[in-house]
Amino acid sequence: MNWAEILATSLFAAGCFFFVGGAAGLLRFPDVLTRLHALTKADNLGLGLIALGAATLADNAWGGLKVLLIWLVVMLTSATCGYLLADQAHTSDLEKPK
Amino acid sequence: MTPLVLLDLVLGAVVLGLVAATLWSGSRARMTMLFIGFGGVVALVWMRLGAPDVALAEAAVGAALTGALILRAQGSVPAPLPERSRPWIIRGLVAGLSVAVFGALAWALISLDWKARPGLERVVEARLPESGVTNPVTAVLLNFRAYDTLLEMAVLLIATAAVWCLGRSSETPQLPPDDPLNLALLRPLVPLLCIVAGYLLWLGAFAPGGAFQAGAVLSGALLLLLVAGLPRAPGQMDTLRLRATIAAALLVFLGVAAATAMSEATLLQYPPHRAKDLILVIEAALTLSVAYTFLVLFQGGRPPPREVRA
Amino acid sequence: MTVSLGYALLGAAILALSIYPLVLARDLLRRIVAANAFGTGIFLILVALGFRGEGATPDPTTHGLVLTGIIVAVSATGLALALVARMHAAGARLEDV
Repeated sequence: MNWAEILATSLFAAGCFFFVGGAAGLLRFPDVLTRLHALTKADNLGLGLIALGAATLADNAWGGLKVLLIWLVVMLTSATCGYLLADQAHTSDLEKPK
Repeated sequence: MTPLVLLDLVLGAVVLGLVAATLWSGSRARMTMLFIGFGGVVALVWMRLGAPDVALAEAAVGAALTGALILRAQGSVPAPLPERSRPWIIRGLVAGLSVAVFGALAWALISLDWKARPGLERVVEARLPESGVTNPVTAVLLNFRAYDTLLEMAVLLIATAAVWCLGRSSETPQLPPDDPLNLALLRPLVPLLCIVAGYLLWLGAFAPGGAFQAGAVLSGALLLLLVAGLPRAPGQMDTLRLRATIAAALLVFLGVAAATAMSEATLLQYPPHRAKDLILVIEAALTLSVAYTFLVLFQGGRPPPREVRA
Repeated sequence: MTVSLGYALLGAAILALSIYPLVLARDLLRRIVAANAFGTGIFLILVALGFRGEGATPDPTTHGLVLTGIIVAVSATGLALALVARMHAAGARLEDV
């Protein structure tokens, strides 16, 4: 394996670590707000690391930039969704923070 | 065990587990979320089987859009109360039917000669230069089997008409129009989605992509505008422009079909030097119609006519 | 090839699994989800039939069929959901269906 593949694999592994952490948080945290916190970590950091790994394996610089654009768009939408869900949970008193 | 076999086993197990979890999940919300996840993993399976166009469509339409439709319907239809379960003999019969169907299919599939499968990939590859595009799936959908795609557009139009016949659209839950999210999210995202849709449309000629995927992305932009509570978002009023956009694909396709039938004496036989342009024109109309059809399906009914809104 | 056969059998399994809730589920939305899963099983069989191994060109006609099928399935789902909403608005007892 050349250096690019080694770098990409380690980035993928780090990203998976954050995704597993996010899933564990989703299953184990007590209320909606803390679970959202865990999920957004998975979305931002986990996907960012995986996107970086995929970018190092891309054919050319433009392909890598496109992958990073995907990460930016996902960050934008997941931050918005996190805000909307938290707002809904807060106003409807779904679960009091424990 | 090679890495690819490991990947196949894991993918298969995850897909099967997700189907079972989705269909037998306790709550409705869980079922919908798991269904969206199921669609995402199935998109991975499509990639594994060398079908990137199908993967794009599955992720955008099969998982995301269908999930959005079901989520929207969840709001208007309450879950039925659990009643006494059905008699065990009925349940046993249906379970037996399930097993019998699987057995019959498995027997048929296993006794197939997988080494010597007939396939059309050589035929398509041989005639690809005259189709006007280099992406074989686009060539099949928009040129060699264009008649099927024409009928598919008719099916979409019929579905829209049927949904509109069933009643008025209920109020879509919307953000207040002056919500700061509208500026923060929509201003970068909606133009980006339009650009990506155009990019996918153009790309479909020579790389995975095409009109349906572009239409799905564009419908995402339209749905965002609808949910954001903007008063002039598309699809809020039953206007001639909305109807014309939904019918545009079928009309354009019929026009091309009539033109080719008259000049070439064969239905939908594109002259090879014009094929690329014809495909692009049809695909552009397809993108618009598909996007607005998905918007209408999301609304679930006919929007109020223009006079009421004014 | 065993890869194709494996995924085709997976499709058959998904199809068979979704028959039970498709017929017997009380919640109509669950039946619609089961119908979608049924369709996905069929698509899996089709694409697996067209798969020719890693690196070899797959059969594009099966991909075209499945792509058309996905679009038609979502419009059928949209119509089915509108029907269910209308039935509920008209006061039908959905448990009797």
